[in-house]
Amino acid sequence: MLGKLLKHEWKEVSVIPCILSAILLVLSVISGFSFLGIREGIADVSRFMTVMLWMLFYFALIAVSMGITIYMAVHFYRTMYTDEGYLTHTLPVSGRELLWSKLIPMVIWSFLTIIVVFLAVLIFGGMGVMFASREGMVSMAEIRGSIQELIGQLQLMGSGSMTAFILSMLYIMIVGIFNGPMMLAGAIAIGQLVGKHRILGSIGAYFGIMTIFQIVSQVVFLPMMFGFDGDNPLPLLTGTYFGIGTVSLVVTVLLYFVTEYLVTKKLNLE
Amino acid sequence: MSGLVEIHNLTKTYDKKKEALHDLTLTLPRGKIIGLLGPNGSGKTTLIKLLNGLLVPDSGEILIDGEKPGPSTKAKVSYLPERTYLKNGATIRELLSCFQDFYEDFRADRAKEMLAALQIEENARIRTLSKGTREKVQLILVMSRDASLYILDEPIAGVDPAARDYILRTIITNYNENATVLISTHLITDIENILDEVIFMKEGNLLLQTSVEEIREEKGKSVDAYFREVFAC
Repeated sequence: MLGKLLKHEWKEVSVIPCILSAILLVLSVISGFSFLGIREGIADVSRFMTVMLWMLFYFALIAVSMGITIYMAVHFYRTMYTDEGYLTHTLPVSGRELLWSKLIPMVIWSFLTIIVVFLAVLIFGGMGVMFASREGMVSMAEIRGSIQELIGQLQLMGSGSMTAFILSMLYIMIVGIFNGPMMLAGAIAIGQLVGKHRILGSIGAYFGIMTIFQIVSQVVFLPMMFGFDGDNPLPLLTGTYFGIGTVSLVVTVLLYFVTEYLVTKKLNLE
Repeated sequence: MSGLVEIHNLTKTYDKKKEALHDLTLTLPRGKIIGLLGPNGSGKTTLIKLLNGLLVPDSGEILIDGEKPGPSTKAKVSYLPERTYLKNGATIRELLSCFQDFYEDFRADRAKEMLAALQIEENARIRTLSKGTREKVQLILVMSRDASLYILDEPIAGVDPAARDYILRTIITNYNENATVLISTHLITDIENILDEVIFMKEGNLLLQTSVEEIREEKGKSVDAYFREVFAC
């Protein structure tokens, strides 16, 4: 039954994020073309429009990633705990299957959102570099030089610590893909325990979990500060990322079990 | 032979204060149309939600065909809640496909026949339908299943008298004769002709469970008149 649930859930949940992602990608191309507006001798109005377009693109990046996250949370709440929940919870499936069918698309979209935002920035930046070099504002040799300089600086920090740093970044990013949706679903499920103010309860639960997470992260982070080598911040950052990533992982797993328990044993659709 | 539904010492309290059901023990036989009657706050909807696994009891036990509420009982119970649970953005065709995917006992041809009889387009989106038409669509979906137990919570409350007749006809002509239909309603006069049995509930307790025939013969009254007498304020 999980396959059938996923089929219906994916179809239902993906329309809005697809539209938002498409809008962002189109906007990144339009904003990329705006680099033509900063050529020498171009009118001030055109420059102003260009800057406005860049700002719009910047806000769109934030709005789309937040929009998709909020949409996922609202969809989870609507299909699990409002009138639609009467159909959701009377389907002949287990609570665990229901929960997985909601979480898997949330996690996939959490990943896809990162990809879409990354792509949008890449398109925008790529077009910027392309137009700037074509207009002679910057030469490709300069760009190559800057990249080589950056690589040189990183190599000075030691290739071993660099690999660990990249791994720690990947680790925290992968855990984050699971942690974000689980925090939302967990907070919403916990909020249902709060009598008549369930939405407020969910928001309160979200900030409560965040606060606990921040405190535990600080506890992990502080001892690392004592071992900080002033010349090379990489080991500190690597340790911090691994530490916070592991705290996130533990929070994610704990929240999963709490949410599954609440969905299967404490459901109260009043 | 045991009943289709066995309820033992069922208690449910909301917010640790308001007791909606108190130590309820009840058996629903097979192959009957049963009216679940009582004034507001008597615990009818709470009982129905517990049967459907939408609420968790504080204590007591529910067995449907020998099993506690869960995936296997949900495959046998066809439930019409007192509210519309249809997704606003979905088309009727998508809902048919959803029911067909999840309920093995769903008869799509029967649903399509009923939709055609009511001239409801399968391509129509739920948000474009009137409240009455949504309720009809929901009832069609529920009654197009060959379930063992149909639980209908206020199926005729929000519709006009003509639609009520259609809904009652739909219930009578579509339910499997070995199945039990449990109908909760305030509109007793409209449904009493189709009922075999009635259950009267008051303040979370079972007041009476008897056949409609017995009320008519022994009390010399209609179910509606007897209800008014029992629950007179």
